[in-house]
Amino acid sequence: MKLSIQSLTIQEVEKVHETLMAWLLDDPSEGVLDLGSVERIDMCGIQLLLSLKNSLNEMGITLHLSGLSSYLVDSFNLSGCTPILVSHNE
Amino acid sequence: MSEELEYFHEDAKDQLGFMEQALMDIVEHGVNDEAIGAIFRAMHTIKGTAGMFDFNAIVAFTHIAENLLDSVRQKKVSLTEALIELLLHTKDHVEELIHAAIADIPLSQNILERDENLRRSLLDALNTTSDSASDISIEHHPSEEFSEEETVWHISLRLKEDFFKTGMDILSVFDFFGSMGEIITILPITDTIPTLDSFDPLHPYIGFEIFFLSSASIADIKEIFEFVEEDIELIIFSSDDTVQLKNLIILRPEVAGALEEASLYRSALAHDDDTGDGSDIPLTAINEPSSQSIPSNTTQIIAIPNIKGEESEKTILPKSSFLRVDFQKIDVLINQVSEMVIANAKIALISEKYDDTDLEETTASLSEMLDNLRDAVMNIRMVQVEESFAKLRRNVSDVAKKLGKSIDFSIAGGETELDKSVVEKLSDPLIHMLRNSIDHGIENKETRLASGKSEQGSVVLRAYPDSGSIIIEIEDDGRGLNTQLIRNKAIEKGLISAQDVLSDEMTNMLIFHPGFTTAETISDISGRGVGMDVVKQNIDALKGRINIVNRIGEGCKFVITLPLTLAIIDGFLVQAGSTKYIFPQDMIQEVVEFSQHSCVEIGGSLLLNLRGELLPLLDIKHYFKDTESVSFPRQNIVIVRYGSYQAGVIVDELFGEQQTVVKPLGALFRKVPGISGGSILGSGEIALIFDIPALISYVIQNDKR
Repeated sequence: MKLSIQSLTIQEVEKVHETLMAWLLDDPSEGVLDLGSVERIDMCGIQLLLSLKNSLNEMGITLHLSGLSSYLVDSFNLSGCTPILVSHNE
Repeated sequence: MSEELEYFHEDAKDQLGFMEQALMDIVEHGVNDEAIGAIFRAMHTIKGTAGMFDFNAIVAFTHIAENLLDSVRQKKVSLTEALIELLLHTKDHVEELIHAAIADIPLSQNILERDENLRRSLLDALNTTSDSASDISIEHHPSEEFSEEETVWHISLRLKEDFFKTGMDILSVFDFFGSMGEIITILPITDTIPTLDSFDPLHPYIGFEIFFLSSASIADIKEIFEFVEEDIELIIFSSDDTVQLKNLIILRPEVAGALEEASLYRSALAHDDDTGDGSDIPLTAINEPSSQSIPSNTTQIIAIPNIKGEESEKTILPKSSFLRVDFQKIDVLINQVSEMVIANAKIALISEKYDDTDLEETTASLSEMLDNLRDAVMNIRMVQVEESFAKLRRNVSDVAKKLGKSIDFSIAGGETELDKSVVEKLSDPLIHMLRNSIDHGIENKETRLASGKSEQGSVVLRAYPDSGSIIIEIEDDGRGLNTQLIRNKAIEKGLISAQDVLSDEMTNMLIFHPGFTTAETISDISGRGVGMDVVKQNIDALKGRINIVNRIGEGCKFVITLPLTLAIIDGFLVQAGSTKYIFPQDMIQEVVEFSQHSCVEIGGSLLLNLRGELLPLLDIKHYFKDTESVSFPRQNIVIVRYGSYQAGVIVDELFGEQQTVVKPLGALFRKVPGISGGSILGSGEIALIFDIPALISYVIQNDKR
């Protein structure tokens, strides 16, 4: 699924939460989340991705994040979440 | 403005103030490491905190200044007079950048040009003196900035319930770590993050274990979290401290598994060869009791329970003892206390009607508690004048430099406390008076030497408490006011006529008249005749008075007398005729019974013979033209003192001391001379509060005439 937003921060996180919930109910079987249009992320957004990963894990699906900009990778690195969110995907 | 942004603003103002003071210290007392450290820290802190708010223009500029200051700190660059001047301009510029960033307004062309020029000058200063410091890219170079002994700190961080709602992103805080050292690893603790169906997007589930290599102290690291300290739980200790690690794991068991999985603890300890038996501790085994106490180099914002778990042992938190509070919140508190004072006066009045000892004792006890509460609340508003005074050193230095005069400027009594609102409004008048002293008062070098004075002029700014007031003096050793010249100018401008007979003191006071100036040339410093009248207006607005003590050829002293506070005072209630009045208690010297024998009338003025000393006497009913006939068994004289002056005020009945909430008078009564405000009594009656300086001034001038 492509997340068509520029920013995944505290301002958008509730809305994105709903979008992701709808995705889980629809067809998340591929487990690919395209973050190609996301230009900005904060800890709220990263935490949401971690929760998504947990949900997919429960369904036996591995989360793959695609379209990661260097900014997003830097942010994951800064939060220490790269090994959880990225290393097994890319 | 968000609370965090407001905090940033206040903190940045403080930092810039420290920077300016440190620079002025160096100007006055020579280079010292402490001052250089303070200047560096100011730029360093502003850069870091500005980064948290994405104020990139500030970050980029302060980074350059910080690099230069780091070189100064490392003695690679000498702190010359020109560099101090440049750093003062840098401080001013950062102030403007912050102002623009907070107001969210684009930088003007002027500011941008200045930004460019200052950057170039800062870079030049850096490049001309040090080859190694020429790299001034935005990348941080922690190893260059911190060359002292480094420690691997273990920082265990948890975010509280409302953390995200503060609007702060913890990633910005982590980013700032880079300016103080090197983050070896950040290990997120994600155990409690639920699946999406039970996920609350605004709840912080995540925690962090951070290993940070730095020469910074625990206090320095804590400062990074200063903006969010209320919304986090933080434990910091040296990573080679296995006792602390055990304590942490008992408190936060999830840490053990996470650290072991990531092999982080061993990695962190590897930075220290002297780890003893701690280097290979199996983390699953260290969750065992220990009787060792928490060492002093540990900080924690939460309490760690003692190891035996018998009872919770709270460690004293090494937090700052200061709390920033919005001034308006204190005003709300003061208003509430004011209302309580009025209500209490009413209760006291009611209790007098009943012959009930319990009621009277309870009322007395309540009054005492309220007295203490009032003092405590009013004390919150009191600030030392030192900080405000210290900022004036820069003004004095600038003016002296501009005029080519050498000035020894000293400050005395900086510890004197004054209501914060008064201090803030005092700044402009003081700046103007100091400028005048240097411009008009202090002579040029040649004149001073010719008159036997030292080459360097002296200007002293001092503060001290006196009779419930605060006195602020500006004294110089210059030429003094030329009273004859002032008189001639006043006649020329039609302020007085040639026939008017004025004392020297009254003549000198004419300089406060709007449009008055004796300066032959108009400079951008003074001499426009605009200013001294505004100075007086400002002092008047603070319910203060200004006097001049002049010594022709020797110097001049301006004496400002200000009330200690403007909100609640200790008053002394009296009645004269049909009206109740309140004397500010601090200004009362004594009360004597009125007797015709002790009073004399000389030249139309009434005088009191007080134990052989003649004091001017004011019949208040006569002064306010109160013709209503009310009879009293006796009359009294209240002796009041203001500065070095004394006077007696004839009143009728004395009611005694009482807390007085000062209420402003309506527009109609605001300019009644001799009255500074009103107060509501417990009975609901209004009492007028005497403006003692104005009354004394009236009787003295009456006598002189």
